[in-house]
Amino acid sequence: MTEQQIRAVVEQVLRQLQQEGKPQALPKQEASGDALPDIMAVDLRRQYLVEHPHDQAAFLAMKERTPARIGVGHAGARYRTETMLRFQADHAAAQDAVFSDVPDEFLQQMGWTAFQTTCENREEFLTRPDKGRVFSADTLQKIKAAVPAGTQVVLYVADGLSSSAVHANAANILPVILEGLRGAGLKVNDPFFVRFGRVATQDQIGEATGADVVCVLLGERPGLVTAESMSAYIAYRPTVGMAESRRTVLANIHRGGTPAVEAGAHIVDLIQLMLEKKASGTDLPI
Amino acid sequence: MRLSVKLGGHTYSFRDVREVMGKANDEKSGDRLAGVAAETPQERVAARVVLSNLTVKDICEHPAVPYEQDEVTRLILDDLNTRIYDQYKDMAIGGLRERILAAPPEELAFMRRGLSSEVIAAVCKLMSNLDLVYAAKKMRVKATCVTTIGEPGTLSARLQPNHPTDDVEGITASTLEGLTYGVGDAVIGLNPVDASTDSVKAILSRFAELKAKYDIPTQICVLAHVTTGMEAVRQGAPCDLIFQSIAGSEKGNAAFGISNAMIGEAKDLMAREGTSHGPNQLYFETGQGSELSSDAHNGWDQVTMEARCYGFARHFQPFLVNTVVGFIGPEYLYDNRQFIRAGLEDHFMGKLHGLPMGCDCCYTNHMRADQFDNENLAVLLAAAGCNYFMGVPHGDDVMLNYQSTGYHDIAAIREAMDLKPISAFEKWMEKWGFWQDGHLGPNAGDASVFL
Amino acid sequence: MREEELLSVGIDIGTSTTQCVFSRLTLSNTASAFSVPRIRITDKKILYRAPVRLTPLLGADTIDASALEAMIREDYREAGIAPSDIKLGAVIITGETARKANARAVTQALSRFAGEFVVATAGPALESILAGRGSGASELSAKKGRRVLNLDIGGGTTNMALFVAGDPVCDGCLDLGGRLLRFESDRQTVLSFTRAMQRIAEDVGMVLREGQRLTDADQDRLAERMARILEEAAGLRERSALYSQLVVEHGLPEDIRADLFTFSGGVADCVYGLSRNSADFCDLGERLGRAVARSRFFEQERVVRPNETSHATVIGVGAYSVTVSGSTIQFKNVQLPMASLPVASVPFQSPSDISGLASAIEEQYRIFDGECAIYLQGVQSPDWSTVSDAAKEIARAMAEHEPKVIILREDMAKALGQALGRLWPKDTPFLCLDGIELMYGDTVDIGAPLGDGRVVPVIVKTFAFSQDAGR
Repeated sequence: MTEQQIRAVVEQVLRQLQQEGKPQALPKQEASGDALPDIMAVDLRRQYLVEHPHDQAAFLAMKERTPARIGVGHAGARYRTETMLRFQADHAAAQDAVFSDVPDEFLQQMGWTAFQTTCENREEFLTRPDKGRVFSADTLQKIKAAVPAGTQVVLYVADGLSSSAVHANAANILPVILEGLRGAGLKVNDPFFVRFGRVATQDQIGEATGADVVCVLLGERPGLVTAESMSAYIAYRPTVGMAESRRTVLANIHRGGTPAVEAGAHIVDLIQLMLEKKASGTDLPI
Repeated sequence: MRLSVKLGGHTYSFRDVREVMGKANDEKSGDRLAGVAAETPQERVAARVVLSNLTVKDICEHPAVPYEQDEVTRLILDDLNTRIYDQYKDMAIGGLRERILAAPPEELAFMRRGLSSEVIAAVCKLMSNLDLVYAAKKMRVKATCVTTIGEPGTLSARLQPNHPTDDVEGITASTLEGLTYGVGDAVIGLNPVDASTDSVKAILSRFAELKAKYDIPTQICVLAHVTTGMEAVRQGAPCDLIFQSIAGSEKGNAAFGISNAMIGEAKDLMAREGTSHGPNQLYFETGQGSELSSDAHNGWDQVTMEARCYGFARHFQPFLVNTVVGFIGPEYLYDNRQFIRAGLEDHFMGKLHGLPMGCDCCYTNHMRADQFDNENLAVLLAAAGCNYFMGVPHGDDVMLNYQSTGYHDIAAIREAMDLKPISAFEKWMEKWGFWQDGHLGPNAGDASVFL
Repeated sequence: MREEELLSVGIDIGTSTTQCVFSRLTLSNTASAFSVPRIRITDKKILYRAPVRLTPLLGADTIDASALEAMIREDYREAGIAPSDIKLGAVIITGETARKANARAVTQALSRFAGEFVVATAGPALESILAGRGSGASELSAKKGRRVLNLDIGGGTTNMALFVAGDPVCDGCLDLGGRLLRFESDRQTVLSFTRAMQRIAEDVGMVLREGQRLTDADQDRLAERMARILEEAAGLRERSALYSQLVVEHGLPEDIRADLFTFSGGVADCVYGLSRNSADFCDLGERLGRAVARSRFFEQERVVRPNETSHATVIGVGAYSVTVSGSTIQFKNVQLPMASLPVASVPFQSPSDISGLASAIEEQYRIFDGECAIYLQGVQSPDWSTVSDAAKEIARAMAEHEPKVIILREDMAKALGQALGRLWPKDTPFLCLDGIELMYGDTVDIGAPLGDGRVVPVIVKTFAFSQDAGR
């Protein structure tokens, strides 16, 4: 096609679009019951509560560059009610993510078998990092039995410090990784779940299963920005007591960070690269 | 040394000073993790009874890490004034507690030159929370970099404009807003994500630019590793303070990649090439539990190891020292009670070492604590005469993902407790309309006045 | 990745002058450690500005292609840069010159010589936007939170673009510039003038003739009328019939509202009271600049002097015409660079759009004779089902077509690309990228991968720009 032809086509289509796309009156939003708007839905980057500012537009332009809670105004020397409650709401979400368990219904829905580290409960998980890294001999045996012989890549999910992260991301990231790796002809297990699990659980699992690569997806310690952030820790033939630098880490997987599906697709490439280079972490040139 | 005691008809025996010191601590999850905590509340009190009867000499002669093995121990003990030590060495720790509570400020300033870090930790363990506030309040410690911190009646704040990607414009936005609330008289100091020298230089240059453009009487710093800080200074970056995280043992410091000699070198470099006149040109951060996390605690409790950080710090006459009290997480400080106690302990111990002590009152989201608890700690420490706190936008650090004191908290504590910023900074705030008659002024909160 | 530095060239062949600027673009990973990389252009530094030279012409309608190429070769030599050093860039032919008979052939020949991925571009809309980016108006709007209108007054045309928060929201072009009227060396005797100039003259009751002598007062009357046209364009004065006659393709919308004004282009220096870049112009430029300086633009302290004035367009071309894709993309067996691919956009903003996706794509292939890139807005942080369902539709619609190019705005290209790769026969060539915002009818050039192969550079040639000023 020549440029003129393209131009003619484009102009015609644009004309059509304009006709078709005439704005129609939107149905009027009726007040929905008694529910107040969700303060957590307010975009903090655009919120501005300073009264009688000298130059609101100029400050908002600067504020665009940081997620920090600025431009919040004040009541005397204290916070305004709206921002104080938003802070509390964000903190409450973070605490819920840390202190609640991934529900059994969700495990069933995902079809996961659950294994537990040597931690008895969540308080112990938080205060005894050593116990959250290991399994009993019995549990380890069961994990080994759950992974078919000849599996090259072991993939599993752990709650870590945010069960909300598991809930929000697992169903979107796992199929991308599984289909990607299996599509490339690799043998991957059906993912399972580890309760009260820290990163280094992958070391024991690596040794027990003899897999080439172990990838654990786990909930990150929540910040106030999001309680749903997940990390992937991937290691080539991990062993108990190995240097932390042998893990390849991919953090910040959540709606506002790297989307789960894109992170999953990136992990597919990373794992294939690890298998090719037989290395991970700082040993892996990327 | 008598290491056993009868309490309520039950006999408690302890193996050595280390066990007494560990078990005398108020409950901390980190001491449990290390296996040095008392099993029961009664055993804890029994340990305190034993401790109160040990002498200054008993404690001083049992440092947490032997003199021969540890350069931090050598620094602490070699820095002691032997004549002053001799005056106090036979005093029981219980008696020392009473002496500290009763003594006038001048005597405390004299006494501390003879007290080793372990002795200071020991007496701390016998102090109640209000004791810690009351005693610390008597100890004003001043230090001078560009301005002078620690004058009576002042409360200062570090402006902490952290950013998840070190975006200089984003950092500037937070900095300007903080200044309008009167935050930043202690230092404008950023924790960088990118620890490269170039990035550190870029941020320092922006801070220097803001300082010059608005004529702000304060000091600037980027909290990178000391070697990076030194490299930036050598390459000509503007820098008033060099920062380093420190630990209470040689092994702990090695985990941080530092040594006595390296900190000494930084001090000398700043004296020659820093953009401040000093004499105090270093900034240290500490926090209970960091030695255990690098397996450098030698079987000792986290309060004693923390005290030794201060013993190390005082050798280098820093301008700022603060504990980042609740940053380390629930495996070391589980909940609100534990981190509030730790904050009071650290401040007291720092001050008794003669340090210009501040505190990052803070907590992480996996601790059982919230912002109310944090406000409580800040008010307690302000009452104790703490030199400075952190000022973070709305208390939410978007880079380090923890919560600290907010810009508003600094202003509110000053107003409520009749405290002021450093006087040169106060005058600067009044000029811009940020402060008026001991209250926030008409332009407070509106950073667009700078634009 | 480590930082990657790319040499970029910008060449602006204008009505009266030709300019060439060499820049160094720095590409680096801006994501924090332990995250999926996010590779961006993080720094733009101008290395060398070649001297401004008169555009060589052969008679009235033809550019002297060989003289032009010799001139540009000289610029490369003086800059100490070989065409093979140049990673990317663009040649733009602007103003009156774009209407010369051999304009297209000349720019294409030049782009081939100038470096690996140097793209020939033209069009008043693109010129307006690049001038505003190059002048710094775009950055000013982002930094100050103001609506900034940049007016690039050149020899033959004035190109205008309004920027809000760094982005252009509307543009317009006028047949109005400093060189519409040229004098003999006495600066009084009329040598030549354009039709547009005659219209302006007629509007103030004058008739221009070659060889006629114009007094200072006459010249000022003409210049002042031209300045008023600019006021009309910027919404500072009611629009006249003459204004509509001078509009090229489209003007700015009538309800245009700007907070600040910046002037760039060859005439801008005279607006700001500086002497003109090259002294021996015997035309109306200087008087036009001074007339603008006395106009309503300057009444309320709303005029800001931008970083770049006379070099704005060429800097825009050299440093701002290229963008990089998102850093999680998927491509296989494709030949890059890909030149001048028209863009067909297909609605896909939510899972509910998926069912009609295949037929919508096929429809576009029919319109474009099968040769176009398919642009989809995409879904922010999509679910897996959205990705896999969309992939099935897209794979079906594209199965028989070459090239297979999918461009998305939202970050989902890698997941979608991997899914597509599994649906097509092994080794099927395709390219699926994101992080690029396009309009229906844009044309794109896609370069060879950069940043350890994680991103591709894209040059977007906009020719149907949105008229929606209220955005």
